Amino acid sequence: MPCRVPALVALCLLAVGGCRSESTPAQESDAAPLTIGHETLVAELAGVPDLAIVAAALDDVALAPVFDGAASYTILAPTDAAFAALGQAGTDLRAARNRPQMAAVLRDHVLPGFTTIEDIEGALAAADGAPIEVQTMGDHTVTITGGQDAGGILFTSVDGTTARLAGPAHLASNGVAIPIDAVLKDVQGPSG
Amino acid sequence: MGRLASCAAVAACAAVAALAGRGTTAAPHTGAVAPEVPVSIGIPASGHPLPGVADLPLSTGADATRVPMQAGEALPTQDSPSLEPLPTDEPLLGDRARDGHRRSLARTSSLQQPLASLADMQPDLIAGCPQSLDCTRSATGARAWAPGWWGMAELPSGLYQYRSGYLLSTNDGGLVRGYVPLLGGALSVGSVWPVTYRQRALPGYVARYFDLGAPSAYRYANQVLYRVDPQDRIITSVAALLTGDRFEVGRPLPEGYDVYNLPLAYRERFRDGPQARYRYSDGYIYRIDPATGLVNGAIEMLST
Repeated sequence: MPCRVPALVALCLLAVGGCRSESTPAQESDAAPLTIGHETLVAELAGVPDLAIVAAALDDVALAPVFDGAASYTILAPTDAAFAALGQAGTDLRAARNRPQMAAVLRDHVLPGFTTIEDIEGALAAADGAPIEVQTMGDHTVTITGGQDAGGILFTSVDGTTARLAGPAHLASNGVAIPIDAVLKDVQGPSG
Repeated sequence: MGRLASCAAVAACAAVAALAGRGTTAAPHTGAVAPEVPVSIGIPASGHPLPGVADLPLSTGADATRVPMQAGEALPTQDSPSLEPLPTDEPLLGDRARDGHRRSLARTSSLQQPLASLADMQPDLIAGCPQSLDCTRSATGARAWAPGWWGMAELPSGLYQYRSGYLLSTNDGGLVRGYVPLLGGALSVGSVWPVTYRQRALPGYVARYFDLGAPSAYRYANQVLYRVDPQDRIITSVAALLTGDRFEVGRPLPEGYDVYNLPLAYRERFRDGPQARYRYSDGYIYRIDPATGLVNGAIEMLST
C-alpha cells in the first residue's frame, strides 16, 4: 500500500503546530520564517471574510475538494470587492447556469504548488526588474511585475487584465491563498 | 486537533520516519521540527518515458469517434520508470527502493526521454452532438467563443459556441459538428461521464499521488482529474487540476515556472541554490540546472 507522504507530512505539521509554533524557511537561507495555518486551503479560505465569494464559487463548481487534498496549490484569490466590481457580469458569472464559465475563470487563478508572496518577491528581485511568469491551471500564464520598490506586485493575465495584492497571504498546510483586488480574466471572454 | 493528540501524532510521525530509514531532524534555520520525507527519485532509463500515458484502443460509436472502457474493465497503465543502479559517485537523495536499487537523480547525459507526456493529452473534440442537446436547430447568431478562453487553444480552429455545459464546434451554418464537455457543466459531480469520451490511463505514480484508485475509478480530461463510480460512471468528485505542462530532461523548463513553488513539506530539503533550482508540477518536483536552465531530474513525492 503506498504511503501517502503528503498527507503524512500534513499530519506531522498539524501535530508540530500543536506543540509549538510552526515555521518554514523559503528557498534562501536568510528568508524569514513563515507562519503556516493548520487547515487545508479550502478550510483556510472559508475563514477569510473578504474571500467569501471565491470560496463559495470553488464549492459551487465542485473544485473545493481539490484544495482539501494532498496536492498543493496557490490561489490568486479575488476579493469580494473584486467580484462586485464586475457588476452585472460578475452576478451572471455566479449564476448556476454559468458554472462552466466560473470554473474556467477560477482555473486561471490557480497556480501549481505552494507559492508565497515572499517567493514572488524573491523571484522578482532575482529577475532584476524583468517580468516573471507563473503557470495557471487554466492553461495560461500570469505575468508578474513590480515588487517592493515599484509600487507593489502587479499581476497581468494573458488578456491584459491586471490585479494587485489586496492583503497578506493565507498559508495553509496544502497551499496558499493570495488576495488580489481584481478578477484576473475577462469574464465575458473574447469572441472566437 | 487537541494539543495532546498533536504531540502524539508527532511521535507517530517520528516513528514512521524512523521506519522509512530517516529520523526527524531540527530545521537549521528555525529550530522547528522538519519532517524528513522518504523521497524517491525517478530515473527514466533509455526508452522508458516518464510518466507515460496510455490511450485506450478506440472504436467507433453511434454518434462519436471514441468509446471508453466498459465499467470495471482493467486498463493498461504505465507505472513508474525503470530504475538504474546508483553509481557510487551519485549523490544519494532517496532511500533504497524495495527492488534493491537506490533511486537518485541520474546524470543529465543519460536522460533524454520525456518526463511528462500529459502534455500529449490534448483536448478532444468529440464528433457529433451531445445526446442531451437538440442539435437539429441552427445556432446561427449565438455568441462565438474562443477555445483558448476555456484553456483549450489546441482545439481545431473554427467556430465555437457555448450551450448547456458544452463547448460546441459548429460549421458556418451554425450546425453542431463536435463538442467538448466542460468542467462545471457536462462534467459536473453527479453527471454521468459521457460514454463517447475517451478514457485515459494515467501513469501509476500519478494515480497514486492523487489518490485516484483503480483506473476504472477516475477519468482525465482537459487537465482535470475526476473520480467516477466504476459501475455507473457517475462523477463523484473533482480530484485534481493539472497543468499538463511538458517537462523533459535535457530541455528547458517550461514557461511559467519563474517562481519557487515547492509544497510545504519539501521546501526544507529542496531549496533553490547555486547548484540547483526546484519546481513543482503535477505531482513531481523537477530539478533544474541554474547554469543552463535545463531540467535535469524528476523527483517523485510518494514512497512506493
